[in-house]
Amino acid sequence: MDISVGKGLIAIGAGLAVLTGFSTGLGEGNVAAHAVEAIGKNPEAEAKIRSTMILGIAMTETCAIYGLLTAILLIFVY
Amino acid sequence: MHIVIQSDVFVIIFLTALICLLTIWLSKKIDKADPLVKPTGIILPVILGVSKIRDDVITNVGPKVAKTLGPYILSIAIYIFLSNIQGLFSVSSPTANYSVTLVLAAITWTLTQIMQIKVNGIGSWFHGFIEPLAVFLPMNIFGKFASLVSMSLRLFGNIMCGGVIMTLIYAGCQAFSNWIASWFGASSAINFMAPILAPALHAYFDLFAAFIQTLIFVTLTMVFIGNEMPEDMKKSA
Repeated sequence: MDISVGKGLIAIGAGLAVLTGFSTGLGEGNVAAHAVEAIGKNPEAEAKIRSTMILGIAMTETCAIYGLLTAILLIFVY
Repeated sequence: MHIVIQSDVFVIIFLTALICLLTIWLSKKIDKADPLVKPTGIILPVILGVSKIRDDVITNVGPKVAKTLGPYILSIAIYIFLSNIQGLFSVSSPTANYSVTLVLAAITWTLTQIMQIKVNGIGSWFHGFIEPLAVFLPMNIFGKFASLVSMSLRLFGNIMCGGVIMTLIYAGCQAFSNWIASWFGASSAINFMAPILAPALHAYFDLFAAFIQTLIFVTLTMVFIGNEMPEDMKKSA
């Protein structure tokens, strides 16, 4: 076998770390769904709703970024 | 003694000099403009940007604090935006270095704690550690530092991971063009798949994500400081 067991375990850990993207997809879809519904009820507040939605999406994205950061640190440093 | 200077230091010095010269040149141009005529040219977006940020700051913290907080918010907005873009010029950006984002988040955190102490008093700040019950002490300690860790890691993670993903994409394009060139029995020295696949990703990572992260950082700073203040402090001039 070419690759040691340690490196294999690191690769498994990096793969597990990116699973945080699963809940981020659910959460951001929820945000966008409620934003679209709010625009449907109140079409003249569209610009304000859109900018609040972008703010909410970027805040929720933090969870996925933590996972990606952990995976990149594992692969490129160890 | 062994001194190591990271390459980001030169980019930070260059960026600071560039912002200095840019603002001095723009302010001379604005001084010469006639106040009764509609502004045109380069002055118009500058005036719109400054007035939008000033209105946002006044909405969040009130006119009295906005006199000193507004210029700080504008300068870190310009600095963070210009340093997030550096991926377009194939230079490592300063905000891809954790030291820079940690310092920026630490300044915000210190301002928040100072505003808390100013409103409630320093005894109440220490008492907040054992607020409902004394067993909550570890969780309260972490809760006070949570905003510092999350703000610095959000900006650092977005910009650094964007840079790493772009490097991987360029390496993949090189391998792809080598594979296509191997059909004709050669290996390609010029990476000709990259101008086809990379620009859309540059537009997302280096323009859109940079702008959104700047907006998030600045908005969170204003909101954290404004949340500590009681309502009547925000109304008085």
